[in-house]
Amino acid sequence: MTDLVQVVLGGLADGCVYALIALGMSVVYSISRIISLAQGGFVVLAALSAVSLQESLGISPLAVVPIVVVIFAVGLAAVDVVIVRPAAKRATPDRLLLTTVGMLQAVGGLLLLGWGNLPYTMPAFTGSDPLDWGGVRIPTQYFWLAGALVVCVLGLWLLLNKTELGLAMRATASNPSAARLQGIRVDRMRLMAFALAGAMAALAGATIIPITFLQFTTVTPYAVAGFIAAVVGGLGSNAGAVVGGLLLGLLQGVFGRYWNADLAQLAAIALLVAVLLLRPQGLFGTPERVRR
Amino acid sequence: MSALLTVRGISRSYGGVAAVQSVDLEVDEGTIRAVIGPNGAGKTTLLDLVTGFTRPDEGSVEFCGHQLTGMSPRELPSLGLMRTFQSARLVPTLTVRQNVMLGAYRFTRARFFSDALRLPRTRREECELVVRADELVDFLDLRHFADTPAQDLPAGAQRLVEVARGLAAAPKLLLLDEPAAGLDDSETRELADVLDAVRAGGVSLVLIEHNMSLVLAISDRITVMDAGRVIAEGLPNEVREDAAVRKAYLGVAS
Amino acid sequence: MTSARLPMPVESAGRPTGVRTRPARLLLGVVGIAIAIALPYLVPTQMSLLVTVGIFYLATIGLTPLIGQAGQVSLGQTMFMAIGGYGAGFLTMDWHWPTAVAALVLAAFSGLLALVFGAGFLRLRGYYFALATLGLAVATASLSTAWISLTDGPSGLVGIPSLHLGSYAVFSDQANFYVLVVLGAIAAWITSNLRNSQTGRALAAVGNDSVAAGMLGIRASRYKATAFAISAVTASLAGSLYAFYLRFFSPDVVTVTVAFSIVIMVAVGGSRSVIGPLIGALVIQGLPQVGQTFSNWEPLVAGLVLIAVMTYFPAGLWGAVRDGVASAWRRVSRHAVAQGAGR
Repeated sequence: MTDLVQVVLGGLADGCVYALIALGMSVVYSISRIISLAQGGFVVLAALSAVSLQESLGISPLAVVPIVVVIFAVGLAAVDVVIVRPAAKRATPDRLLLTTVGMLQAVGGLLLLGWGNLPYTMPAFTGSDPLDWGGVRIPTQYFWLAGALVVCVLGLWLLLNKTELGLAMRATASNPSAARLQGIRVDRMRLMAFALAGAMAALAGATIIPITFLQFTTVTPYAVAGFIAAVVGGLGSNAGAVVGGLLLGLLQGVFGRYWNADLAQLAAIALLVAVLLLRPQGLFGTPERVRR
Repeated sequence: MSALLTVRGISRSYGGVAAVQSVDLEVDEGTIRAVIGPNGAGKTTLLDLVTGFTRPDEGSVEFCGHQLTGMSPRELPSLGLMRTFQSARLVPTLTVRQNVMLGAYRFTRARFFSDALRLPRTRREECELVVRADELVDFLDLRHFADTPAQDLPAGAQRLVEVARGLAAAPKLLLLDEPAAGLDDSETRELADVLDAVRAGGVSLVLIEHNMSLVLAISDRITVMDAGRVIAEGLPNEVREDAAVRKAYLGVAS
Repeated sequence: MTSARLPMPVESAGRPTGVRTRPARLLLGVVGIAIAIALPYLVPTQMSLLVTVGIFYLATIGLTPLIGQAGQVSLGQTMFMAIGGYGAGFLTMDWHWPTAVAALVLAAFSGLLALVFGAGFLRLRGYYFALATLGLAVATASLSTAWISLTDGPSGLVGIPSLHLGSYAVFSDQANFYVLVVLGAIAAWITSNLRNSQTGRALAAVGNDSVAAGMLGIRASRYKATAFAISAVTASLAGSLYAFYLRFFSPDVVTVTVAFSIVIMVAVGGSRSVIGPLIGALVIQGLPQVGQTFSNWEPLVAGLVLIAVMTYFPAGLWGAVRDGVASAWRRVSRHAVAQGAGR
């Protein structure tokens, strides 16, 4: 029993990261209809950046978090200006998908160049001793992960529902051309979406790295897990992203423990395929024209 | 003369607003029927209903003895019914000639394996298609555009290519959605001559149009729509004299 | 023109004018094959690169009808490569099938499988199909390490025989290369035939606007599924030949990264010609060969190249060159016509 609880908690911890990746993809998708496969790559890049910053500055792991969050928010805003904006001018959504494949590949390339193909980790934010609750060992980092997810969900909800900017973003998401007619600068909304996605990727990366090892080769698994979570939850639905991410983490955790890790991946794909065939708009998505 | 197309009491509303309301329309063989009316009168919706793009709430469409209601748009070419669109929906990357060749799709017998291996059947068919396409391209005076990708043509010329593509299917009836939009006066006169020749060739036309001089010049009968209803129907000179039409449409237009 | 009669759909016996002249295509093909035959003597030190490029050319050329005409991106080529590769190992080693028969049967099997998957996935709009095929690629990568009884897991399947044509063993790099040249030429010939036929035009119509295509009587789902099946057949052949060439097949050959790079090859070169994928395969496979230090740069450069191409040359590098030449030619010829008419 304690074993199952342990597995569930571990799965949910991974699920928090998947949820954060999916949340970033969802925000970008709802504003721009771009499926950013690179989002998972940014998480790994942020994590390794955090490791290097922490080592070179010699500050506490927790203090690194706001730094990478700011760097990646600005960085993804720059990616939007330098890469996405020129591409979006002439490309169809299909080509933009390939552009994000290129971004994912480039992020992997940066990791290979900057960090080599070696695994990295970082000390936990608050002590390395896990709590022991009736035989279940809970690393304190799990609380930070859950906290990061809660902060992002709440922050996003407040931003979208309680601010002028959020109103403009929601207007853009529901109908870009109508929003443009109302004087909303759609380009700027997309810039904001990418900046938010960058901040969330950084938060996820810096918070997961103390309890795992990340490297060049973990880029694709994270990218894929994030996109499965986003599609299963329903592209463009923030609630769906969170549920999809946690569900996926749970599924992979349980299958990985009682079967094996590769088959856990297969279970995730089976989930994806089932959702695409039976309910292509995802669990929480609105049935906008997904089929021909 | 028997009616080629018979539309009876067709209606369609969107969210309580009637776009088309119990409209009747008959097109006789070998004639041009114009449908005119102000923007939003429901003319394009009427075409969509006839061609199965939109399901009618009620009413029926009969073409050459076939009940079209509930039929997939894909089956219409083989019955001899083709249409063009208000903003041309050509394949942008293909040349004008290739687009027109595609119009004859319903005649194509060569299929995948023959095409993949370029068997004699495919070669023979390609030759026939090219000849036919070039005749139509000439007919619509698009010769100098023949090898140009459709996306590089001005909108008016694209609409003419759509007409050629529709004719390539050798239809009994061709539905044209504002073919003269974007053409200048002399081009419009040329188009009138072309449509005349099309009729003379035995193809009936339904012409949705704003350009009154074109409509009055070539139509056999005119239907006038306003706010989803037919408000007048008759010969061109009858319609021109109709008081309701003058009020609803001609008065505004002229 | 206006006095003209409406041309009637009669059986015409006239010679068509302005058809893309066959001799030009023929000449291009002959020159290409001559260069291919000469290559092993021109660059004898690069034979393994040439073979690899040949294999990836086969995997990419079959993808061009799907991407270039039907407008659907498949990220799942590695699944069919895996079927071709592992299947070839299994059929030849466990069931002692002749190598060529195994490759052909697996290619047919892959094509059928693609039709089955296509029936489900191609109902999905646009990039949802791409996402579903990405799922297939991920599943393939997992299965290739997990299904140990078939794949021997991460260490890979060893002892696969070389390709045998009759009693001749295709063993050397050069022999493998020539086999690939023949198959690549056939695949290129078929895809170019398709592009210049009613099937290819119908595919393009479907990819551009399946509703408008339906108005011409074209059944969209059938054409897309056919294009997907073509991609599967060539990918499976490429996988089998890779296995026969390496006499080995491992999960490294069918990772998700490989699935991405195959699509990158098509996108970089351009998907509407037979030369585009060749350029793509050369660029992406050749980059790591430029130098040992450069191989670390390869993923970054490949990614940036893809971004730049998608942004500035959506028709691919070769497509951009060709479009440029074509539009310049049209401008020149129209100018000449205008001058002629002016006189």
